[in-house]
Amino acid sequence: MWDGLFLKRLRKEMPHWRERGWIEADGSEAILAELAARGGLSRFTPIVFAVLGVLLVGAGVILFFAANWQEMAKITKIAVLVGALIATHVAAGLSLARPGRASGAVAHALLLLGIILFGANIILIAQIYHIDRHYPDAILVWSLGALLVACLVPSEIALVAGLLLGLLWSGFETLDFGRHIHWPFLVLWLATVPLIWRNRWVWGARATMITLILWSILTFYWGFEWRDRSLERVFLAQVVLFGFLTLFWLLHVAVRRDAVSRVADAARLPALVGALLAFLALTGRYHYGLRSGSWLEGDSPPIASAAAGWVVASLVAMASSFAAAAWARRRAGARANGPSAVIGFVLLGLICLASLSNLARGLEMVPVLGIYIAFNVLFCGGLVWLIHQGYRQGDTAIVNTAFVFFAVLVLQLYFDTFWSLADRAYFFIGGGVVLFAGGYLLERQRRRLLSRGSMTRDTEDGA
Amino acid sequence: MKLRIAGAIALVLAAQLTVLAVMVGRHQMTLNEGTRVILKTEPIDPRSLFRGDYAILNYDISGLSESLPGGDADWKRYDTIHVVLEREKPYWKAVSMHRNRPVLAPDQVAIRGTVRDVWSRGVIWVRYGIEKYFVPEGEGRKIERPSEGNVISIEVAVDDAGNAGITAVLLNGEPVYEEALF
Repeated sequence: MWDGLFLKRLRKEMPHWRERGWIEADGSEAILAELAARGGLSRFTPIVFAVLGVLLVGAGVILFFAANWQEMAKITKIAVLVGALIATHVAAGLSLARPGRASGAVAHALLLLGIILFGANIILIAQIYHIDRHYPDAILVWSLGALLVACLVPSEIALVAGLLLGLLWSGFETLDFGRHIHWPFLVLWLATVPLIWRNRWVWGARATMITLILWSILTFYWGFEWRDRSLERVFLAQVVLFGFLTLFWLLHVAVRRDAVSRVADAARLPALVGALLAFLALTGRYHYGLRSGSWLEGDSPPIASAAAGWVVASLVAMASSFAAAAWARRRAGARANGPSAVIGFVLLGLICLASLSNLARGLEMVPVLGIYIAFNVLFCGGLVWLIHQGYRQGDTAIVNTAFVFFAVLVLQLYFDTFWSLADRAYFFIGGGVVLFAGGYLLERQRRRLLSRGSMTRDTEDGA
Repeated sequence: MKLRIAGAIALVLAAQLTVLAVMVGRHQMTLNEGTRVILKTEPIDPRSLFRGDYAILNYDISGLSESLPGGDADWKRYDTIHVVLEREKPYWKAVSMHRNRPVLAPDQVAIRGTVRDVWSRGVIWVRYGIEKYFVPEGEGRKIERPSEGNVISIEVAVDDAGNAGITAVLLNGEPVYEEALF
């Protein structure tokens, strides 16, 4: 669909470009012919239709069983369930063996149907035999079944299904069985990474980052008892922050390697979002024992020493993020040696210091209010730095992401710190001034970039 | 290429079918080799949206008093628990609770469960994995609310590891549903 829109837009623009002499008439016709030959439909269209078809068939199969359950003998039920599973896999295999884009889409849709039927088999066989043990195990087995398909066939859609089922498994373990931090999910998650890398799966790369973010959110909010307002939640957020930063920098380096460029690029933005979400979590008032309306005095914070495990994990995560950032800077060469890179490293160092202060809260030597303010100032500074970097590199996704987080931070600060009408009035006036000033600076930056671009073109033309 | 795909699909199918077979086999082994115990039950709340009816079974041994003599104390939510059951007429009774599997007397079995909740009044709620029983649509009510004078009880097999599985639903001591492999 997008290809069609693009072609339409291109047809409209071409005469104007020809008039200006940017392209030759022959060139424009060749471009249009090439795009038209690719077909009006997006490469995702057959996949979308096939997947929707599979979901409908899957729902129909389940309803068929439900409608005819009583009439079937136990052996018939099992034969139908297992038979459907075998038939679907065989049909998927036959489709895979046939060349062509359409048969490929059908094959992967059938593999997805096979995965759905494997889950239906587990659930319905458990019902037939009244097996009602630790039910998250069933979801884990389902997930492993999907990942096996992803690995052996290989199939990207099976990988995404396996990851989502893995997340569901972790969710049940955390929410229904009180798993403190469900680490086994990370083992499953890590097992998918080489698979994605080897097969260059762009959607798989996005899915793997998104499931890691969702797992982090799940653990952060539900992996701890609310009543102890545990410092462990803060330590976890810190490890997640530095972990995602490490991934972001590693992917930043990988983007420059042709072989894995697209995969790394697809995962880079979600990795940044993961880091920013963890950072945002660390700016919340409630982690510092500060109550609404009395934050200047401070509530007695939940003092506890960081367990040795958290200290080690935090230090390793910090060191990794520093090493990855330094590596990314080295690989970028002269372009990354300006003052902006130095500021980036200083910011990273300060974030590490603030995090170490959190780890040392048990010593009662570090003012909690100071850490809270430091995290908020550093988050703000980090976002400004990101916006600047995004503009420099012409990366609108990074700029937009940073702006969204900036808006969320402002909202959070508003609810966290301003309680009277006068406070709120000052807040809005101050916010307005900051926005005006920011807009002016960004516009100046944009014009400077534009003029630099036109100067470069003139120089090239002159040469 | 075709051979590789055929091999991959065959491996996937073999693995998935093995999992399903092991699932049924393990359960059947518990039913075949486990000690049969009769438990008093109070079924509640039948219905399953996708899977026909089921009765949720609440046993006498589902809610245990912390004051049971012997065994371990200080139970927390999600702890694994081994409950020793002793043969009595007509129902088996819980006699002690342990963190690890205890040594048993001849007329005893130990059933393994998970602590679901601990009440301040000293009641420990335990889940054994035998709390659901699926029946044909419309028949859940028979188990849920037996008519006046009828008593529903459940026959359960408990294996050496403490795993349990329902072998029969009894109405006044006579089986109305019995489990078989096929």
